[in-house]
Amino acid sequence: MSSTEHALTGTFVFPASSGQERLWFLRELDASGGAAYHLHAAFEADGRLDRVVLQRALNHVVARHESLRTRIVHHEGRLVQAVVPGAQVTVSVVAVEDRDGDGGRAEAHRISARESRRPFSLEHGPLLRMTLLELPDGHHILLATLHHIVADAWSVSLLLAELAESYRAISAGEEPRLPELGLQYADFTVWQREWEQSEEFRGLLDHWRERLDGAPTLLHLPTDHPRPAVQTFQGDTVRDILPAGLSRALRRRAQEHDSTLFMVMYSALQLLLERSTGQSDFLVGTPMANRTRPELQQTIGFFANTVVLRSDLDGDPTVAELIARTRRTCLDAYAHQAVPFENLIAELHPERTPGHNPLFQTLFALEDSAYTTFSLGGVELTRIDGDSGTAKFDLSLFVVDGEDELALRAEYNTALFDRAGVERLVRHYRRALEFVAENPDRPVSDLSLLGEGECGVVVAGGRGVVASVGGVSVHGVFEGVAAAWPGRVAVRDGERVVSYGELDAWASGVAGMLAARGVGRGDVVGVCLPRSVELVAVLLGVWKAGAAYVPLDPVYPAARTVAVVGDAGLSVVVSRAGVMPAGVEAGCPVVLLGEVDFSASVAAPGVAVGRSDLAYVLYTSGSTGVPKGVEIAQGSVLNLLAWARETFDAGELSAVAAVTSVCFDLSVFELFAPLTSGGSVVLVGNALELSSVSVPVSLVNAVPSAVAELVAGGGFPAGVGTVCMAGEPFAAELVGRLRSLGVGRVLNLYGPSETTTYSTGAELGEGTLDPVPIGRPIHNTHVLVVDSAMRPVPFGVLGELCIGGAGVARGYRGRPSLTAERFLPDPFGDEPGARLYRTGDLVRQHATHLEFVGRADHQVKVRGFRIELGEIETQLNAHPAVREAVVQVRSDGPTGDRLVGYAVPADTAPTSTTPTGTAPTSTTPTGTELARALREFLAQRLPAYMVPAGFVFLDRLPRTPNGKIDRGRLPSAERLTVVSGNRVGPRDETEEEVLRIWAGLLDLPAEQIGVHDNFFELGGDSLLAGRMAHILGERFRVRVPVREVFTEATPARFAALIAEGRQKQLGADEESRRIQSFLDEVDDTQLDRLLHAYASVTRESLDHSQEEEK
Amino acid sequence: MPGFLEENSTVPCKVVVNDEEQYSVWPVDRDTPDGWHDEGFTGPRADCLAHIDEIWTDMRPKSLR
Repeated sequence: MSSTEHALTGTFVFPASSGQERLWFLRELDASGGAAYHLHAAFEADGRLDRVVLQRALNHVVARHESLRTRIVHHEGRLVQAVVPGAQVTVSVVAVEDRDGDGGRAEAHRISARESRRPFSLEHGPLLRMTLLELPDGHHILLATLHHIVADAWSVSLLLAELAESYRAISAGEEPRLPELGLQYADFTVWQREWEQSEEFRGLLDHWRERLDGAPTLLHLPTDHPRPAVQTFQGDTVRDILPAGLSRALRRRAQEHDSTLFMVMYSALQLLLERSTGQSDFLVGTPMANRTRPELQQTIGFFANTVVLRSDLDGDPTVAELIARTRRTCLDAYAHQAVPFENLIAELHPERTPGHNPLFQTLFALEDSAYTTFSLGGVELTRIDGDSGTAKFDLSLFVVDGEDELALRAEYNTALFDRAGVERLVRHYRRALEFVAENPDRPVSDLSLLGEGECGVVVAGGRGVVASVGGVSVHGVFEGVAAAWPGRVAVRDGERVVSYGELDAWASGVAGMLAARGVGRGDVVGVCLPRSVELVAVLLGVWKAGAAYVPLDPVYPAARTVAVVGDAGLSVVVSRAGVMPAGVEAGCPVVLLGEVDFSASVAAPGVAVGRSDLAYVLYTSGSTGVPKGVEIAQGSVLNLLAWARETFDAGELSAVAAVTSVCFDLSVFELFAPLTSGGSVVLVGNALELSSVSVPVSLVNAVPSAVAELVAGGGFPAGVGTVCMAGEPFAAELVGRLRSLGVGRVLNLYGPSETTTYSTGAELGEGTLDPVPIGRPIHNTHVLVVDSAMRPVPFGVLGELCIGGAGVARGYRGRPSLTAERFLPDPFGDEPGARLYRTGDLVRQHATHLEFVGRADHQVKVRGFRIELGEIETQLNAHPAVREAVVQVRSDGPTGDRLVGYAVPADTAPTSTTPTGTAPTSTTPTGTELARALREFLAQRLPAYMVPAGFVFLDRLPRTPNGKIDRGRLPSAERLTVVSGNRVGPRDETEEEVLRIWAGLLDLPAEQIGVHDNFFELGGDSLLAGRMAHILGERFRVRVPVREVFTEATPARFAALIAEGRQKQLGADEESRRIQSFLDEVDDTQLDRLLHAYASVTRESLDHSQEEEK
Repeated sequence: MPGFLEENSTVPCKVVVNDEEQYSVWPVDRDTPDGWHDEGFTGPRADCLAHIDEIWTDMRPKSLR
């Protein structure tokens, strides 16, 4: 028998209720002692209380209610209530000193606050404390503190009422007249435990499950701080009093809609939460007395329950309709309130994390103002206690229903919110209340949370500085630099070093050649060349001829390039024999460099262009299945480059690594920031090849995943002073790692192609936010974060980011309606008639920075590549074997984000109603064949980064009740059917080992991979390829160059490379074998001497061999 | 009523145009921003955009034409 159980002698033991079990658990969870679940009240008496009478009165009450004599202990492995028959609670008496010269009031408050937080021992009790503070002037303050596990708010009222009657009666020498108790709390728990097994209870549970099915169980309030991993319970309170007029109007609104004040106030709360979170479906908790049975109404105990209310805001109802819906929701909840919250959780098993309350994190309650006063004998007591300093939930909003005015009390978790953030929420709640009170017939979408003053602050907060930008064209600025420093290095392309003078002459030659072919101002020229200094010269040459360039990637499928050539209406395509995709020449004249004779002697045409002339048209993924061309004017590029020269000094721009394909706009920054400042461009094949770059690099600009991969593989080049990352969110940890490598400056830059590469930027120092912010608008740029009605949203509230200013594109080439839809009038523009680009990115604007949150639509980023899922889906749906398909980015696997196609094959029975309808069908050989066919089909139409890694075949796609595809319910991609050709198994140990390594990287069974399968077709990407090269190098002690992965990425090829590498090392190995056999023959002393003697030599040869590794 | 920015082709809009003869759409019940004029066409967003496809034939800014 344990000591606890021994201590149960003489007690009555009952099972604990499920609510008590939860509170016991929360007490365990809260490292600070569980004060959030203390019920505490302090009353100042206007006279002296009789201590003896008070004690006797308390004895009387404690004797009546078992729960005031209950301890909570473990017995036979279960939590139980142990009721101690004769237990008493002693009233403590404390003489308060006057330390502050205020008659001891402040000291009394301190004692009260301490008392409210002093932990209870649930095991030993008592779970009620009563303290009488004696002030120096003879006045008394009475403190009552209970643990929630034995009482609730209703119980506190009962306790005080019974105390009052007992005190009165005992003072008068009478027997207290108290109502007969129907049931004790323990009786109720026994009954409840049995009832939980009943059919009726099952029915109630089913009702709740149906009501709450599919509801999100986390409400993302606009918090000021990220959520800690483990919930804390420290809190604070913000109070507000509603004007009498508004209070009256709200009561009137309740009357007119046959509802309660609670329902009206909660209607407004739903609007506040929807606007503040961007979520329209969410859960809010509200406490219920749960004393519907008359025999429970006089008993002290933890009867209170919390019910969950689900928002209902679909279809933009009017205020009146919202109130009516809220009324239905509430009445329904009241009718089913008897199901303990714990049972509901057990039934729904929502995600349980120690980081937040399950199911709901926001509580809403209407409190009446009873027990602000009561009397003991003739002494009047007035409640004086302040805030508890605790918070049970993220946010608890209490409406205190006073006589006339309504008061608000917002109790918030201080780990999540600052006071100012909650004050803002309360201010916005007031606007929602005013809207509800005054506009019963208006649609709820008419509500704007921002008042005019606050709107001005928010809009002003989104403005970048105004700066004047010189120059008329980018090439003009370049020519100026070239004239000033013709001998400076402009571009390093491997061994080839080209000066400004040479590059300028080369570009002029290109321009002359193009002019001779009729190219002039306003024309658009395709450029399809490998990354080289020649490519840079051609881009500049196109500009010098007065035209704009359209980058075409030679490795993209020919069909796509042909489509772009047709769409762009090109005057000419500049390419080179061997890289020109087939079919281009049919739609457009082509110049093949190397076959055309031109030289610097051809005069540059000297075409005058203006800032409004186009600089380039960049094709980006389009949701309708066709890529769209973003038209960027010279002035926009000039603005970007002026910002770059302002932000980075000459040293930083002295050797900028250009790692990005010219098909992506990061390249504009990488090439032309140095070339318009006198710095030089270091051409690198791709970001991962930075590990083997042989010249110093001052600045690296790349997607964070590539930078992270370089850092992880130890290949980040030494001496890089500045790293700019862009294209995708990343963790703050990477900043720290870069800094530890000696990088002085790390920036996160953000911007869509439509606003010219970079629109916002953040300098990331030590202790930056995580994930890192996207910062503030660059110069001559402003941002506007708006709600779905395109009204600015308050600070901290999720909204869509719109960007205005100098970087805004002209539009989408040849797409008037798409342009009109995405480029909107700028209501806050600097100039009349200005336009804003709506990015589709969801962000929060804070006073100091923008926080990137995600996408509003189906555009995704995989490894920094911007992809419209709709473009892939359109192509996929065009395959005759597919009835219906969607594409998702999944991060379930260990390989990070990857694209997965979900397809219903055309031969699936169309009206499948099997209960496993959305389960993946088995991976039949047919499935594998279909997957291969689909990949081949897509690879001919889309760039490689847009081809899904694999497919999941379904009988049908999951749908929402109104028929839309429910992407959230697509199964995980664990049972992915990936593509493999006619499999040839491993033929030797090396191939077997390579297959094993691939299987780990690609998250595939090794048996599914053949030695002739392509790494990328199996779902690999460039980052994984880098990792593979690294692992192979470690495993086989052979250097595997990353670029080999891109030429022929098959296990057979790698096995061959490894064998080759080993052959090269054979000579060295022969030498070491000779040394080994020598060492085998020496004794330990000789060996020691040798080691000392050769230490320096060994170190030298080691360094040398490492040099070679690089 | 769905919000102006929601993915919904039935949102009531008006066609607006600026001095560079660039077209766009705007909520029908909201004041037209400075420097923009009502083109005259109003209707569901899809209709407004279809109208723009018809009338906006030269997408260059007027000052460049």
